[in-house]
Amino acid sequence: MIRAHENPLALRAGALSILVHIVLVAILLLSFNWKAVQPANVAQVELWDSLPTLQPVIEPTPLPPEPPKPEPVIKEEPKPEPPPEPKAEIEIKKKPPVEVKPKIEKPKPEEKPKPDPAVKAKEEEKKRQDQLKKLQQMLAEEDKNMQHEQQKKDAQASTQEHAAQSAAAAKGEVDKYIGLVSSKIRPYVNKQLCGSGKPELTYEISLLPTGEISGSPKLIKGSGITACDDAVDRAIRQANPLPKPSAEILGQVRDLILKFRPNDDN
Amino acid sequence: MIKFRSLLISLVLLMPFASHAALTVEIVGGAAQQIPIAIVPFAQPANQPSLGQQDSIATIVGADLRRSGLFRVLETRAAANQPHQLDEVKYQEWAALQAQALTIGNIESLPGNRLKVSFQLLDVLKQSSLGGLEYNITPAQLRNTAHRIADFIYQKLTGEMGVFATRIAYVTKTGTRYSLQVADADGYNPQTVVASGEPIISPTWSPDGTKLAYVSFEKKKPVIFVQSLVSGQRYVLANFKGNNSAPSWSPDGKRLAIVLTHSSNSQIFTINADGTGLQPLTHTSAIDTEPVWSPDAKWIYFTSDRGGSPQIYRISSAGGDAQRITFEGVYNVSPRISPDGKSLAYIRQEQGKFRVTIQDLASGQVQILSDSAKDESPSFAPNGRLIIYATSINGKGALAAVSADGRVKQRLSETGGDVREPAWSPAAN
Amino acid sequence: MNKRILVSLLLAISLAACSSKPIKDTAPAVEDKSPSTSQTAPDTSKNDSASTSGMTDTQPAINPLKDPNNILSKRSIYFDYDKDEVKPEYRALVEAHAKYLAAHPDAKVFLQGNTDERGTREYNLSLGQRRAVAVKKVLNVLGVADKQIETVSFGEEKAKTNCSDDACWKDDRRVDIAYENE
Repeated sequence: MIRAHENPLALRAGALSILVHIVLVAILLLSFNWKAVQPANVAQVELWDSLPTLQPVIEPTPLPPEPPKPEPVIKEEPKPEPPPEPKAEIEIKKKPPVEVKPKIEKPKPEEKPKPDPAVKAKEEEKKRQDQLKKLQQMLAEEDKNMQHEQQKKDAQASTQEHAAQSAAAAKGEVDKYIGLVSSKIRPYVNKQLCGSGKPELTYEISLLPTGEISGSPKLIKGSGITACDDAVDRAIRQANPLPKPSAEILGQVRDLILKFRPNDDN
Repeated sequence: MIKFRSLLISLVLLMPFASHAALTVEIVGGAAQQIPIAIVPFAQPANQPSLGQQDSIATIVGADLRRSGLFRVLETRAAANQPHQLDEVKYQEWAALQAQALTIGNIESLPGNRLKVSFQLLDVLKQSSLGGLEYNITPAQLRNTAHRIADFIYQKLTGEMGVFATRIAYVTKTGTRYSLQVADADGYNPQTVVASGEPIISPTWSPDGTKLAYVSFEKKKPVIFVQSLVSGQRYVLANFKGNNSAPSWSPDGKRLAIVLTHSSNSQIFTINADGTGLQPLTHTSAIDTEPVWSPDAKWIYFTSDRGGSPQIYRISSAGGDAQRITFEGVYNVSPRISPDGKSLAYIRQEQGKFRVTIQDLASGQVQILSDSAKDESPSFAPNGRLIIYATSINGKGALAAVSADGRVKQRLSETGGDVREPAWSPAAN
Repeated sequence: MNKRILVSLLLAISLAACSSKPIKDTAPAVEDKSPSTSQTAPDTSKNDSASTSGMTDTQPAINPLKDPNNILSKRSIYFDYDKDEVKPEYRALVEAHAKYLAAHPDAKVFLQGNTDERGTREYNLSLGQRRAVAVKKVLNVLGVADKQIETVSFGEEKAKTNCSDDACWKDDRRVDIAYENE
């Protein structure tokens, strides 16, 4: 490590390095936040003073409300389609062309609200320009501002509601995905090789965005019965590829810890 | 300064993990399944026409594994890929056939009319070898070698010792003729040990698998003989006044527990394997019979009606007081201890039906294993997983087997006479 | 398949017939070792027709034990299910044999206990034995010493198989009296 009194430039170098670190951290935090929790915020911010435009955004999505984002349309498709049976999963996987069709239909209702925010934004700019010109109507303008602020708050509240709903929605999706993974692997677990007790074992896997398992399952904690550990390893491999996780939750489900209790009932 | 930087560095480094904490998926339960395994017919030398389809190694191995109830043996003859060496294996094709394991092998001629048999067991999903072996044998040993290969595969995939290379002793009755026989565990190659016009019952294997003790009525009363399976020679172990029956070897093979009656009811004694050193063990005026040693030689389990109805008790092999073991029902007889000493199999009679029953000695939990009506003479396989017993099918004596957890049931077919009194040999060595 | 049968047959034959082989499959053969303490009675009772019996001299020597007009030719005592008491109707039979044995100190009987086929073989061996012992005790009371009696059991080995009701089973629950050297 460089000592300050040895090198006069050390302080500056240190400060620069800290600055760089802070910048990096900031970027990281920003990217994390955007990915996991409140992407809606970014899009919503532009709309918060136009209540009427918000409502049509909420309604057209029968699923957990996720206002239009550029790509997420794709993710909504796998949710209603795959029933928790592995067979259905396999069928879906084998017929990717079929998936494309429903995708095309869904974006349509989404696209309607999209032009609106852009239009609204332009209208606002016009309003502000008018305000500057109309100095004599300051009181009226102040009233208007107050109204706007009120609307802002309302919008913000509903924005936060949305954010909360999105977070809950994201968690709901993750839980749902976990359920799919569990029910896909379970039927392959040959519990006959796990003795008569109640063994527990844990594997770790990493997923590719396609749902395929990357590399080999890794045994974290064995059951004490080698044949049981091997049987579960085979079950995981047979269940490969797992259901494809949506891009929204991919970050959270990329690494999974699989805890097995083959001889238990619940 | 330094610490601050380290802190920042670690914070930065930790961020990715904080944002990607691995989720836990709980997977509870599973399915009782059979392992799908493919056995490719071994490559055969051109000059061995005697190795026909029926007796080919792959057929024998497949039959063994299928009979265990834990494997689903896939049909392989139609497969395009017929590998005999590791580098010929096309894993994808076997995975497409749903195989999880694959066996490949070769039979080659050796000078002196001998054969070299080699095989490998492969994991299709992991695409790796689980091991393999090589044997140098005579053609007459082919069946036994196939059974040993099945044992290897069974052990690798289930973690349990295989018993395909073991033998079974049993008695057949054809007309008025009785015959004590020993056959392979799959029923092939029956050899007659002794035949008589009078009944033979209670055969029991010495722990080293070289001798059988049995009870014969050829002297118009029950007498215990010990016969060597190697030499064919036999001697009378016990011919005391009254009955001599129910022999059971001690785990070290040096003594037997037997039942004598003299002039009163059945009582249990121990005796040296050469017929000397008779010592009484039980001292009641009731019926005490069917002794069996525990694998650790500490206890002798037996049937007694000292409490009014036949139940199973145990007594220290050094003598002393007996403790009662069975408490359910009014008729529990024919105790047999599992090789690990933890379970007791016996015959329970309830409402006129005699059924194989198993009891966990630690917890006392009881499970009835068979659903027939005339079960007798249970005998554990040396891996403790299967129990063979005598039963009646269509009015004729037949042998059946059930797994210790009741899930797998087998019927062993025998053409000809009435079959009874099975006894499973110790492990093959 | 044929080969197997042939081999088995050959083995069986070689085991059965040859006197040179140490294994005999039938008949009371003399074995290498016999720690038994019971000895066969001297053969004098073999020809116990008229000479030593207390029967009338007017008839040629008919063995009373085999004479169908003689109660001694009746050898079976029947028992109720799960019971080993000698029923009153068989008293006379047992008494007759007791008298015979008392009169012939060299005579020896085997009391052979039997059961019906229900149950396991070894336990039935013991149950049959219990019945034989019951008959022995009656003989003892009537003055017969144990050295003239050996109680043995065949258990279910002689029972009829495939009985479906007691009319069939009851015939198997019996003790047979068999004289030595008969």
